[in-house]
Formats: sequence, C-alpha cells, structure tokens
Amino acid sequence: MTHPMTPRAADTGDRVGLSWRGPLAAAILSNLDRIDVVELMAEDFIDASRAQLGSARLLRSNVPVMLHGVSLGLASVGTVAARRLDRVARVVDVIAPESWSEHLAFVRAGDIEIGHLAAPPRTMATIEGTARNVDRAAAVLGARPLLENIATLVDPPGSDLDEAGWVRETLSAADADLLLDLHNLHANATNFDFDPIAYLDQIPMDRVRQIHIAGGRWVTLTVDGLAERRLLDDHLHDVPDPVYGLLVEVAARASGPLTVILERDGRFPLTSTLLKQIDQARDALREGRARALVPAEAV
Amino acid sequence: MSTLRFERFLARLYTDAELLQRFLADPMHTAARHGLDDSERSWLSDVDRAGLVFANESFGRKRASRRQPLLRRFLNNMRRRF
Repeated sequence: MTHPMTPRAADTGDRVGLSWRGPLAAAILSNLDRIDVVELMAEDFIDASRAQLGSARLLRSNVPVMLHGVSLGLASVGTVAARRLDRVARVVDVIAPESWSEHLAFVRAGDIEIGHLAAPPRTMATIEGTARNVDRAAAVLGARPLLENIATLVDPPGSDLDEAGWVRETLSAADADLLLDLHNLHANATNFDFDPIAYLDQIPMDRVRQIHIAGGRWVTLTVDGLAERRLLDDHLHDVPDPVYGLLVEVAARASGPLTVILERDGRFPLTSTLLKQIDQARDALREGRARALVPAEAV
Repeated sequence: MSTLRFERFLARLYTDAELLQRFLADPMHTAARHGLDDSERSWLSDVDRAGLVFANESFGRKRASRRQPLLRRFLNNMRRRF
C-alpha cells in the first residue's frame, strides 16, 4: 500500500528507492510498500557466497533491483581489464538486475590504485577512451551501462572541456544513458562556481534514466596559507534542499520515466527520516512533472 | 590531450602526499622528473592547487576506510571455508 500522503506517480512511471546497505536491510524489507526499487553495489557481490547471491535473487523477486559499480574505471584513456569486466558480468548473470551502471571516473592508472572515483581530464582523448571501454563492457556484460557524473574536489587537471560539455559528448560517443547524480552536480557547481541549471540545459535530457540523491558536508584545509573549503559528497548526511530543487528541474525537463535512488552509506538515521526523504523526492518529481504540463507562456 | 602517462601522474598526485608536496613546491620540475613532456607539463600550468590537496586527503581517507572491510571480508571467507 502506498503511503497516503505520497501517492506513486503511476502515470509517469517515475520510481523512488534506496541503495542497499547491510544496516538498512530491515528498514528496506519492512517498507517495500514505500520503496519502489533497490540499488545493489556490484562490488558487494563479486566475492559473495551462494547464500548472499541467493539473498540478492530473493530481493529481486520482491522489488526491482539495479546494479551499481564503482571499480571499473571506465573513464580513462587506458583499457579496462577483461578480468574486471568478467567479475561484474558474473554478478549481472546471477542477479539479473534491471540495469547496471558505472561512474564517469578513473580509479587506477597502471599499478596505482587511487581507492576512489577520480575525475579524468575532460578531453577528447578521455571521451574516446570511455567510449572504447563502454563498448568492451557492453560486449562482456550484454548491456550498456548507465554512466554517472561524479563529484570531484579538484578541477580535473589537463581539461579543455567543461563538465557539462564533456558529459554530453561522452554519452554521445559511448551511446550510453545517464545516471544523473544531483548531489554530485550540486557539489561541483558549488565548488567550481557554475550554474547547475545551465548544466541541465546542456546535457541530453532524453538520456537521463536514473537519478541519485544524497548529502554531504563542508571540508576545510589551509593551502598556500589560505583557508579553503569545498563541499564533499560523503553520503553520510541528509539530502539538502538544493538537491530536491534540482530534482524538480530534471522532472520538468525529462520526457521519460525517472528512477530516483537515495544513497546513504553511514551515520544511518531513523527509518522514518529515510522514508521522509523518499517522500520528498516523490513530491519533487510531481512538482516538476506538473510544471512540464503548464504551457511555457503561462509560467 | 591526455595520455596514460598523464593519468598515471595524476594518480600518483592523488595517492602520494610527499610527491604532492614536492609538486606544489615546484610543479614543472617535479612533472619533468616523472617523465611528462612539454605538452603534458603545460596542462599543469594553472592547476587547482587546493583541489589537489583536498583530493589527496579525501582519497587517502577512503583507502584507509576500506582496509577494515577487506580484513572483515577475509575473515568471512575463512569462516565459509572452515
């Protein structure tokens, strides 16, 4: 049964769900009437036992499941190793998710493991490299990944394109759809002083399929004698209002159904707080869809 | 633009705090010592110095936070075997 205050948008096909984390298992399983979809981390299942894989299949039989990866490093001039693709492919084969996604990031170079998602230089070379890696991944996994824009604390050195232009051209070259992370967009726009609405106007809205929402915090450092601060996307805090505002804007622009995932990696709040954020996302989607129905001259 | 060698140098700046300090003190000399050619070094001429420090710190924290789960994964695997 749908929560009485937040009817699901059956007419648009929009859905809102949550990323699966072990400590959230009980909250998710006991509230599947208010959670439309669940996103699983691919890396959680690469070395999983039969029992863990069976649990994922059981979950999939109760709620639509998407798979999300963090370790391939597709956005690079380097070639993603076949063994890494094979490992993710085995997880996809077993779980059979609705879709799989990866980040527009590089995570290693040669034998150097960065340990997290790094923004590559925004150049034609990395656009072409990403497209080659997406082709390789699609051949092994049997489906093209959705590609996610990432948050970065450093303006990627060696870039000659802005973020929106690089994302747009990369999606085109890779023939891939977008998982648009709105907190990543909010953080980058804040840290590097660009207009996130102008960004939305530059990316192909017909390629936006999924949305991530999350929270973050300010971090400060002294560099060259000056106090500097940046907004860090840490997935440890509640979704801030500007992210819901961006979700309204995306819903007003997107033509196809959107699947929104709330990401929370730690400092887990009460289940009611998570469900409230899911409800807020539904409200934002409805507000945006309603705005899209209003003739432009009436706005 | 952008080469494997350049990505490798960025990965080192993001993971090696001592190298980053040497780079911030003398960017062009440090980049040359790591084999970057004139073209690649020119891409670093107006680099986001504060951002490099933030990235190095953030990636370091991420790597540190992953060490514990790796240990836990190993122990779980051992438990499954025996």
